[in-house]
Amino acid sequence: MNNAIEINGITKKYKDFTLGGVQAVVPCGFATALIGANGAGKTTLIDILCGVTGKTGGEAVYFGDMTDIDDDKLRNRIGYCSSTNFFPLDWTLKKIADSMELGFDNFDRQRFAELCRRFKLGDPTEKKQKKLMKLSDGNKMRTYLAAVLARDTELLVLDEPASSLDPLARDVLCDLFREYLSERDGERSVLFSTHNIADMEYATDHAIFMANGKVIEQGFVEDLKEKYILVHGDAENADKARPFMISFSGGRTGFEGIALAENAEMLRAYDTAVETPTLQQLSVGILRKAEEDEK
Amino acid sequence: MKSNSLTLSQAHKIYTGNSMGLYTLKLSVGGVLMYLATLLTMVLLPALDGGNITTVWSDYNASAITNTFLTMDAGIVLMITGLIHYDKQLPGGKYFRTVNGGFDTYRKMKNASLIARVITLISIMGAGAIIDRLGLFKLAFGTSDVIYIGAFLLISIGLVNFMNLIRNPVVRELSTPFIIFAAGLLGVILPNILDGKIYFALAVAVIAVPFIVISQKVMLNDYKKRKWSK
Repeated sequence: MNNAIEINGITKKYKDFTLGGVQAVVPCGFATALIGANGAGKTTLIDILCGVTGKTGGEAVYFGDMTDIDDDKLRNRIGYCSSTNFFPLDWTLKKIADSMELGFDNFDRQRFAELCRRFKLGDPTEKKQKKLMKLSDGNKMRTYLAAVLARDTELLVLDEPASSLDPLARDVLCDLFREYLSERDGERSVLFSTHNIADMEYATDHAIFMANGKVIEQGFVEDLKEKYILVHGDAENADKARPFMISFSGGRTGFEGIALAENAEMLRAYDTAVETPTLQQLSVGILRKAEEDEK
Repeated sequence: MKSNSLTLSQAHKIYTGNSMGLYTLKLSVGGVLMYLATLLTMVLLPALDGGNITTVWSDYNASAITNTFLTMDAGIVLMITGLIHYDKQLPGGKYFRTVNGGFDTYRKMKNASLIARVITLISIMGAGAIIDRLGLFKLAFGTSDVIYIGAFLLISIGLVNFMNLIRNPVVRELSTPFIIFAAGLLGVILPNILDGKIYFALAVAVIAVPFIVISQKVMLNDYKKRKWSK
C-alpha cells in the first residue's frame, strides 16, 4: 500500500516539551485521525508536516518520494488548515480568494464560491461582505474548509477541524471527507486531529494515537477493533480481571476497560462481557494506559 | 501562481489582500488627510474656545509647530506600518507559512511594504511642501524643512527595521515611538541650527538609502533564523 506520508523519527525540542522520534504512516486513499489528549503533540506534528514549524530531526516522506516541504510542488499537493485564526481576522471571503489565488497554483475561485454557498457563508463576489472577526467560530471554520477544499490537492491536513463545529456540521464534515476521498478514489488522503472522536468515527479509517509527544499506537480502525476488546464485569471479578487489562475503570458495582483480544478467553472465564470497542472507547483506553504509564 | 514569478505587489496581496499600489495609495491618502486634520484641529480648537482663527493661524504659520505636526503624522504612519507582524501565532501566520515560495514570498512582501512606506513618506512630505507653497500652512524654512524631516524619517525606517531585532515585544513596541520621534525631532531642530541649508539633509538622505537596505536585509535574515519556522 502507498503512503501519503511516512514519518521517520521526526523530533522537535522545545524548552518544556519534546516531540520524540515520531514513527507513523498516513496511508494513501484513507482518512487518518490523529488522536491524543491536549499537549500530546498533535498540532506540533501537523505543523511540522505542513512546513509551518521546523523540525529538530527526522524526516517525512510525502507521496513516496518527496521530502522537501519547502518545495512548491509539494506545498501545492497539500491542503492545510489550522484550528483557529487561519486567516487574518479583518479578511473577507473576497480577500481570502484574492490571496489564495496568488498563493497557490490550484485554487479554484468558482469552486470556492460554490463551497461558500453550500456552507451558507454568502457569495465571495458580493460587494458588501462580513469580516471573519464578525463570524461565529463555526462559520470561521467553515470558511477555512471552503478555502482549503477549493484547491485541487491530494492530501488534506486539518488541525482540529471539528472542535468548533456543532454536531450537524461535524456530520457534514465527515461527508466532505468522504466526498474528497471518493472524487479521486485511492489517490487522495486526509489527516486530521480531533478530540471529538465519537462524532468523527464515521470518517476515520486509520488512527494514530499520541501521548506525551510520542506515537503510542496506530493502525486501521478495523484492525485495532480486532486487536483490542472492551471488557465489562461485576465488581467482584475486578481484581482477577485487572492484570489482563490495559486500561481499567471500576466502581462499586462493576468495571470496564480495554484489553488485548488475545486475552479474551481468559477474561471470559471471570464472567465478563467482551465486546468490540468503538473508536471512542478504544481511544479512552489507549490514552488512559499511556497516562498511567507516564505516572 | 508560481512563487518565482510572484511580483512584490502580488506577494503583498497574498499577505494583506491589497496590491502594493493600492496599499501605497491608501497609506499616502491616509497620511496626508491625517496631517490636514491635525492642522485644522489645532486651528479650530482655539477658535471654538472664543479665539480668533486668523490670529491662531498666523501664530502657527512658519513656526516649528507645523513642522512638528508634519513629523508626528508621518512618523505615526511609518511606525504603525513598520511594526505589523506576521508571526505564526498571530491570525493568518500559519496560512502565510504554507503559500507558494514560503519565506521568499514573505521577503518580497516585506520589501513591497518597505517601498510603500517610502513612497508614503515622500507623498506626505510632498503634501507638506505643497501646503507650504500654497501659503496655507507655512513651514519655518519651507521646502528645506520638508527635506530635513523626510531625510530623518527615512533614517527612522531603517531604525524601525533594527528595532525588530529586539526580542522582548514590550520593549520593542514601547521604544519604537521614541526612536522614530527622536529621529523626526532632529529633522525639526536641525534646519534652525543650520539656517535651513539643505546640504546636511541631502547627505542624511543619501546615507539613509543604504542604511534602509542593510537594515531590511539584517531584519529579514534575523526573522528567518529566529522566527520563520521555529
